[in-house]
Amino acid sequence: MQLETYKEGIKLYNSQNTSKKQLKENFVIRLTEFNKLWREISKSDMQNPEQHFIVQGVRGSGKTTLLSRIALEVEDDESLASWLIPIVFKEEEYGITSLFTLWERVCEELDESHKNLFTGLLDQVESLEEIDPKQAFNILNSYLCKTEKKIILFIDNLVELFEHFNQKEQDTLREVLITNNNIRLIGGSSISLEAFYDYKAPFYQFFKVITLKGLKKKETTALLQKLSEHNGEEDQQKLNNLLNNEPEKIESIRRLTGGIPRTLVILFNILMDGPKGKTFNLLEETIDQTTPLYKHRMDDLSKQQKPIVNAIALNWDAISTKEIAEKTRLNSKQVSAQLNQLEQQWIIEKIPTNTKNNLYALKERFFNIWYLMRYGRRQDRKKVIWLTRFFEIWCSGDELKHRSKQFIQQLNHDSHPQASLMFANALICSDSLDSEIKQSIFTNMNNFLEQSGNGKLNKELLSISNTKNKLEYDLSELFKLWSIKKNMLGIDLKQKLISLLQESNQDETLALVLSFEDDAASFLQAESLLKPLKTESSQLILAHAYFQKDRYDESEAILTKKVYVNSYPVELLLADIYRMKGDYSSAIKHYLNASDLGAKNQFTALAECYFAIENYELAERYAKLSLEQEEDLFTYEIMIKALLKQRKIEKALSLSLIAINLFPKESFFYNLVSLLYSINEDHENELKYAEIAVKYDTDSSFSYTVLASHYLIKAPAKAIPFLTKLIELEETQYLHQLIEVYIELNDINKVPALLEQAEAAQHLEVYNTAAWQCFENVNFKPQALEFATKALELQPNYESEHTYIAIALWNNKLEQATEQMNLFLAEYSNKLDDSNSDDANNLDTDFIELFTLFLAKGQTHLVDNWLKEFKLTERFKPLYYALMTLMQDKYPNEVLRMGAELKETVNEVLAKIAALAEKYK
Amino acid sequence: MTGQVVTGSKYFPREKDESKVWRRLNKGGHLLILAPRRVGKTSLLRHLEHNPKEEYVFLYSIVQSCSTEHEYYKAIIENLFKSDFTNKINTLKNWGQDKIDAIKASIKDVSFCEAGMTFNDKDRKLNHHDLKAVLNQIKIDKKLILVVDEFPDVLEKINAEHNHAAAESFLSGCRELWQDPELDKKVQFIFTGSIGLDTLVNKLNLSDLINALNTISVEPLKNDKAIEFIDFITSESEEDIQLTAETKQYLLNKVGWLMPYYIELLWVSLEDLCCDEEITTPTNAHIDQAYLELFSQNNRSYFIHWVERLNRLHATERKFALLLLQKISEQNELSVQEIYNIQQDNQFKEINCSYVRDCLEHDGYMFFNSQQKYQFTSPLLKDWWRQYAARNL
Repeated sequence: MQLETYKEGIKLYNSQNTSKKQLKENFVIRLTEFNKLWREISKSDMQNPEQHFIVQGVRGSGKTTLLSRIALEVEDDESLASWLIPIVFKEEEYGITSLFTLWERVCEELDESHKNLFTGLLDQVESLEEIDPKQAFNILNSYLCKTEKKIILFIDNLVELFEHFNQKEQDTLREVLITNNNIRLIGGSSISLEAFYDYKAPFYQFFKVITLKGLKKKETTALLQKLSEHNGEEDQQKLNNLLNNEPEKIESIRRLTGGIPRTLVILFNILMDGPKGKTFNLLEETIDQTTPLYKHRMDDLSKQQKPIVNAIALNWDAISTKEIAEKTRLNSKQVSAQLNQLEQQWIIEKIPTNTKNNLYALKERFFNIWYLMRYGRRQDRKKVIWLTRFFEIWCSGDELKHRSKQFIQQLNHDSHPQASLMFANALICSDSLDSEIKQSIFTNMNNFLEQSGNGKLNKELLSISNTKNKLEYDLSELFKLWSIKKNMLGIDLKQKLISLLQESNQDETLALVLSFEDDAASFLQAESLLKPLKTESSQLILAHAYFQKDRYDESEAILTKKVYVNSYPVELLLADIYRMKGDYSSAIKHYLNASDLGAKNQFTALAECYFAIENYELAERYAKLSLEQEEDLFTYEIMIKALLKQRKIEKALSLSLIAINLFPKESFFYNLVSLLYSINEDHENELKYAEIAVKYDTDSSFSYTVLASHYLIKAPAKAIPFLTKLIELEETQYLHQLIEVYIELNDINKVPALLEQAEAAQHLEVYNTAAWQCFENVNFKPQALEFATKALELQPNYESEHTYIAIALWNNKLEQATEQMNLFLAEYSNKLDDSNSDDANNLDTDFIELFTLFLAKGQTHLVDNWLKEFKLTERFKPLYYALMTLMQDKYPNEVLRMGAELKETVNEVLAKIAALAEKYK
Repeated sequence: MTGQVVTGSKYFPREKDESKVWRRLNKGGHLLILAPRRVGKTSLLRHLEHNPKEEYVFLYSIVQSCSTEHEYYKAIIENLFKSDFTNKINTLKNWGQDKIDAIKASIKDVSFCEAGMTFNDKDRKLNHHDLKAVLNQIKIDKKLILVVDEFPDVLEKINAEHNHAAAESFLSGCRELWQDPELDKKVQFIFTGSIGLDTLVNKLNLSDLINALNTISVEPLKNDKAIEFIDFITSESEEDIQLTAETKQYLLNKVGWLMPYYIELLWVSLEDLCCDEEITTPTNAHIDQAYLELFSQNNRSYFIHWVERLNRLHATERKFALLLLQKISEQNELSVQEIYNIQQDNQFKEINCSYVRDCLEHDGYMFFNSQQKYQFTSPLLKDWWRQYAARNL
């Protein structure tokens, strides 16, 4: 194969600059869309205004090429050429910033291409006194009519162009497109996820949209055929072999690239270029071009979504929920919820499997490539895995080895350093190459970089130490590897191991390996292998397998049926079973048996069990023993908790501080220390450690509670972020405090959303809280009424009714306040004398408060009637006489009956009425 | 075609609606065509324009970009002197260029060139008197029907960008033209637009100014006509796809609200599916699949303008509209009482909720059904709204 005779074939970029001949010859995909558009254009004589089109697709899907091809067809068609002039605007027409300039550019194009026909057109438009697009178009249209020509505009990035136009310009353009039969518009538009949320394209409804989806298999084959053609017979033959013998590889390539032509062409050409790396710059340019879009996409993700997308992207291959949870240290439920969300946002796609567990991958494959190129760690083989995969698919058998050798041979001063590096890394990562060739690649690449003055890039050259070829492992090695890594062993190696075990009929070992797999089929297979085997070891493996699947009873049944004398693995397993079942006493017994038999690593489990049965002293002892062997995080936790339970505060504190030194990023210990300081009433340190804790665990409710409580008293505004965080952590009871703080700080805008949130979390009383806070702050009167109304609606009870009345009065909603007060009195006045009533203590105060408010609003008659109706004049004597004072005109003698001892109190009541009148006017 | 106004062989005849327009025109008077969006008003009118009855000649003008009275009359007058129309008149009356120039001269202080009308005095503003002067000069044996599309947009823009007084003055000027007895003998106006003129003037308290207009409504297709429409659009297809009577009806049932636009939307989606998967006789299941595909990212453009269109409302009006639509999409229906209850929300106290409700009805979002409840006009739109509109809010 002649790499160096790479011909100018399919240009990736600037397809508008490709020669016409090549464009026609190389146009092998999107034929359906082409035919559709061509039919529409060729059939029409444009006697009436015609349908306009937008071709949309993700970047690299072939929009520009399709538009160029159609334009070419129009140009070359004899029957159209006599009257229809195609005008193609390049991908970025930076000069077009308004509708006027659009028409001006059209006139420029006509002036250039058909000067004889359109003499004077451009001058006339340019000499217009006003920048008036209508006038400009009138002139253009006039010339078109005179010359009996029509134009068809091909505008790539049409939607971006529209964004430059203001509303008036868009309306004007729309008028033209509806009414004018001399112009037709065929535009291109990039779809992105983000564009879904952007409804700045009001024209869309006016266009017929043709969507370029990912290539299907047939088109992928056609594109590969064309690419192969350009590289010579050898590659053509290769493709034919692939099609005949390994047709599934075409589908693999299609899926690898998401069916996006540009991605496919990039990968293919990178392979063909070898170290020359001609395509590398184009790849980099494409990466750069898409960076703003993709970065924006990442920035828009929520805090929880980012690590999930990161995990999926860095994995390249589809990945399960469990693996994502492990990588991100989020719990599976959280991950699942976010995966659903991400799927709805079209960021990821779900790939069903044979089991109930689906796999997930980034939907847009080039986005994944971008991510790996941008964020993949230098020494991470996954950074170039997409390229490795392509190589492995395209190159069967010894082909890849052959290419590797060619690559090595071609490393010279002409080679592109970064491109060669990427190529080399992709080869080194391939499991299809043996160590020897990889070493050769490594060495040669290393030398090349040094000699070419690019020695610094060597740190990005992947080492081959962990990339041992799967074919080279023998069974024992593989099993040893598996023993260490278990489920973290790569799928290929694991399958290899299983296959070798099957071949060598090592059923027991095979069953052992299978028992650690997650899927049900593997477990069933393990079970079926083990059951007939009657050996102790096989039964132990079976018991362990049941344990793995939480089938404790079955596991226990095996272990207790047989008598395993002096077997500490059995004792340990039994102990674990009992521990999982909550039978801590039995667990302890077996752990101790295991200890007697020489087991060494059960101390933490023992500590845990003793803690569970509240024997904190022994829990402490065994935790200490465990820590002497290994300073384990979990064991520290148990020990400190045990110390706390024994009120050994100083010891707990001291141990926590040690744990902090050992595990400086574990917020648990900071929280503990914070708690311990609070017990010691050392609030300064309490706060200090709480603040540290939240740095390491942004989900620590405890720390936030400490911080929130502290600042609510000292500086409420500072409590906001902590309260907010607590709420994010689903401690929705803190919505009350947060709402109160915002009201207190006069920031009402945030309150409604919080109220809704509280309501959704069934904290319905929060509306009453909010309403009352507004009332007490004498602020946000209308909002207070809104909240009070809502409170009454959601939870009609004493508090909400009371609040409503007060706030309705404040809002001068007298009718509503009166109505509600009537109901309130009818319901609760008879409880005033009920000393057993929970409300009794508050009733007097509340009643007086409400009556006073009514009086503050000048409602003397109402209060008069109520006091009498409900026989409250005697009970609320000072209030009554205050009322009589206010109603002296009506009751001139009543106030005279007031005893002198009441005068001062009555005056206080009157002063309060006046104050309330002012306060709540 | 989905999107562009359809003419010629692509126009699907709606004889009953066409007859309705002719009947009203024959009775004299000026018309206001009321219909929700995407019903095909413009296509209908353009069809009438190109196929007029013997005694009529049409001039179609679209004035969406006009935001002043001056621009409005300029657009119409310029249109009168466009070659298409003058050629039409020429064939009737055999006028020469001098006659046309004389008519142009009837408007003072303006001249005509390739760029359109130009004004000797930059402060010269056109108004209804100028149009009247031109129209008076056009003496032909036929009734001139001036179709003004997107007329309500102009009124709304004048009100928004200038003030109520300007809007009132503009509409009064239009009314003068409608009520001019001399002009009435030779010219009839037909107004239409995406916004309901009736709801707009109601909001502006200018309803009395349009009481001279006769309203005509254009309804969705009836079932049998809709079947005909399916046959019409499928006959245009180059693909060999056969729909049975059952699948046609199933398709219509999915669409629900039998607007040609929505029927064609679903058909196009089905056609794409059939081409992709080489199906020649699609089943109901394929129709379901094509229906779901309408909600994919690729097809957002067919629906997103329904959200965008609400931007013309004020912020609180929009909020109210969105809340109504959201609730209807969630509950399928909303009673008058429930809407009244929503209206009582404090945040909506300052707005004219009735106006917003009328806009939503007129613009084709919702309608009042036989159970005295509001529901989405189109199940398609409802499903899309429920799934996606909230993201854009």
